[in-house]
Formats: sequence, C-alpha cells, structure tokens
Amino acid sequence: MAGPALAAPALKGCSDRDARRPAGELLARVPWERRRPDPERMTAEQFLSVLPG
Amino acid sequence: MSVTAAEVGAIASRTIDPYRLDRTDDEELDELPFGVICLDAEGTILRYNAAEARMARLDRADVIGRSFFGEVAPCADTPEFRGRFDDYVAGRVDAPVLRFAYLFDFKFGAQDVEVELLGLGEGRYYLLINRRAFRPPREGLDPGFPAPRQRELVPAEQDVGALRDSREQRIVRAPLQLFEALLRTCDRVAPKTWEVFCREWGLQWGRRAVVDLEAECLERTGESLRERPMREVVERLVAYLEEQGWGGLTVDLASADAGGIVLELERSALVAATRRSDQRRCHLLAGMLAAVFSHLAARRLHVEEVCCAGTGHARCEMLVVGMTRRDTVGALAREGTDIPTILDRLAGPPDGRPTS
Repeated sequence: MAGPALAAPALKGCSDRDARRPAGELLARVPWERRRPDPERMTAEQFLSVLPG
Repeated sequence: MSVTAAEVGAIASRTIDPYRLDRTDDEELDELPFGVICLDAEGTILRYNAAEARMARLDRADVIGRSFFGEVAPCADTPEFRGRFDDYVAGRVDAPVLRFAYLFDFKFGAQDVEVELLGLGEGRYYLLINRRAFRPPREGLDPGFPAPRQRELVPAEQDVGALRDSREQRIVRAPLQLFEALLRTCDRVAPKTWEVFCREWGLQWGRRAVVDLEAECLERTGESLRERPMREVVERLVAYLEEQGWGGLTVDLASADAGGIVLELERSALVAATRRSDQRRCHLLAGMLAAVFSHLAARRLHVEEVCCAGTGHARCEMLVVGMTRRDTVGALAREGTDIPTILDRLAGPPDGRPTS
C-alpha cells in the first residue's frame, strides 16, 4: 500500500528479521522426516518449524 | 505494517495495517505484544492497549481520559517527547510518521523505547511503543518526573480492597467452583458448548499470556521468546503455568520427531474444579497453549486434549500439531485413540505425501 513502510518491531531483535525470513526457512529444505530437532540449540521458532502441517 | 503482521498473524491469522489502527477494535489492539496509545491533540488518552498497561503497570480503565503528559507519563513531558508530539500535531513535521528513541522513567525502573507517532486524522494520534531494554530506576530525578504507580494514580482503590499481583496488575481470586458453575450453566443452556466456549476463552487468555511471557523474557534476556532456545522457553512456560495454578505441565520435546509434541498435565485445575464425567475438561488450557505455541512458531498450531484426568485417566495428555493435522488428531481423540497410536499415525508422511 502507499505510504511509508512502518517498522514497529514488537520486541527487540525478532521483528525485522522475522518479517523477512519465513519460519524455518532453512529447515524447510530438509525432508521433515530427516530432521532431528535439538531443543538445546534451536530457537523456539526453529524447533517448532519442524512440526509438519 | 509487515512486522506487526508477522507477530499478530502468528496467533490471530490476521494482520494490522497502521493506517487502519483507528478502525481496529480494542481486542485486536490487545493482541499486539507492543504498546499502543491513542491521544488527541491535547494529549488526552483515548485508547490504551493491554501490552502498554502491562509494561507501564497501570490499569487501562484508569488512564483513559487522563492527560498522558500531565498525569500518566510526566516523564514524557519534555522537549524530546512532548515537543516532538506538539510539532507533529501542529504540522511542523514533514513526515507522515515520526520515529524517535526515548527513555521512559517509571518508579520501578527505566525502559528504553522506540516510539512511532502516526496521526490518523480527526485529532487522533497513535503512539506505537516498542521496548528495547529494561534498566534500574534512574537516581537523582525530581520525584514528580517518573510515571506514577497505579496506587498513586488511583489511591482510593486501596480502600476497596483491590488485589494486585507482583507486576501491579489487578487480579481477582476466582474459586475453582466458578468453573463448576460455568460448566453446569453450559450443560443446561447449550450442552456440548463447553469445548467450544473454553477453547475460545483459552485462545484469548493465551494471547494475554504471550504478552506476559514476552515481557518477562525481554526484561530477563533482552531477546524475544522465539530467539531463545526451545528448552529454555518450555521451562519458562511450565513455570508460568505452575505459578498461575493451572497444574504441572511436562513437555516431551523428543516427540517432535514423530510430528507432534506431547504435553502431559498433572493436577489440572480444571479437572479439580469439575466433576468426573465422560467429557474431556481441559479445553481452556488447550486453547491457551495453542495461542502460546502458535506465537512461538509464528504460524498457527493446534493443541488437542487427547485424554483427560477428568474422564478417569492418570493425567491429562495433549498433542501439539500443525493445523493440517487438527481434524485428524481431533477425530482420533474423540474415538479414544491413545497418544502412542496417534503418533504412529502421524509418523507417516503428512497427508500421504511421498517421503523421498
């Protein structure tokens, strides 16, 4: 739409990047059955992106 | 507003356009995890969303109609804030949106914020307030400069016994019998509505929980929940539910390999509140958890209560799945299928797709 692109990041660090990066962008290239989610190293968003559907 | 759309879309499947803020109802504003305040040209507060109330530790009902600069936020009555606001209102700013950084001084601490000011015509000006960092209270300030606490803004409430939590948010102690009474009412007026009613109630409540959890995470780590390791986020969620008295939640993250995350709930407050029956009872918590997990995932997820202690099982068990599996899991749960069997079904390729 016309007008400035308002960037109102909800909370520090997450918003601008999240807006441009689809959830699980990299993981999406891996067949879901071969992924091994690691809750210690993966962020919450990365981890949950493994759930199909 | 692409960024907030990402946030809101995660839990509500809809987006917020900043130029439509004036046509956005209060419920939608309350789903935003950042502060939104609407002022008139004189600085009187017209709208105030839940996240701002949480961050400023004030009640919305008590700030509406008050002077933002004079009563609610004297720390903003400065050339750097009010001066910019007045310049914008007077048309002396050559931009539709004015953005600036500021430090809000509260008596409980200072907050680094980024402010966006947007006028939407007819004397309505929206402040979008994003918290960047939390600091201890600044020393050496004039006592009247930091924003007042709720009890200073409305001193009379102490005389009527209003209860507040550690964040100064007003609370009501609702006895568990309240749920029993609600259930009986549902059964009499519209049988089978308990599930629909409670799930929707839970979703709404979960969106409030997201604001609480995000605020706590930001204060503690300087990052959003989604950026934190999954294990840590789960530990915080479990502690939050325990603190609120909902029961003891266990999250089996290893089950994600099978395409769903298993949640086990012991001492469910909802089961304790309602009589034994053949109906599952924890739809409110399922809805609440669905809102939280959807926010974390930045997409909609579904939480199904598969078996319930209220129907005689040892504990309540729920399953977090993607939306395309909602109907399948729901149907299996209604048939009484147990979690291992459901996970076996889910372990196959989703929707019959080939795995290669």
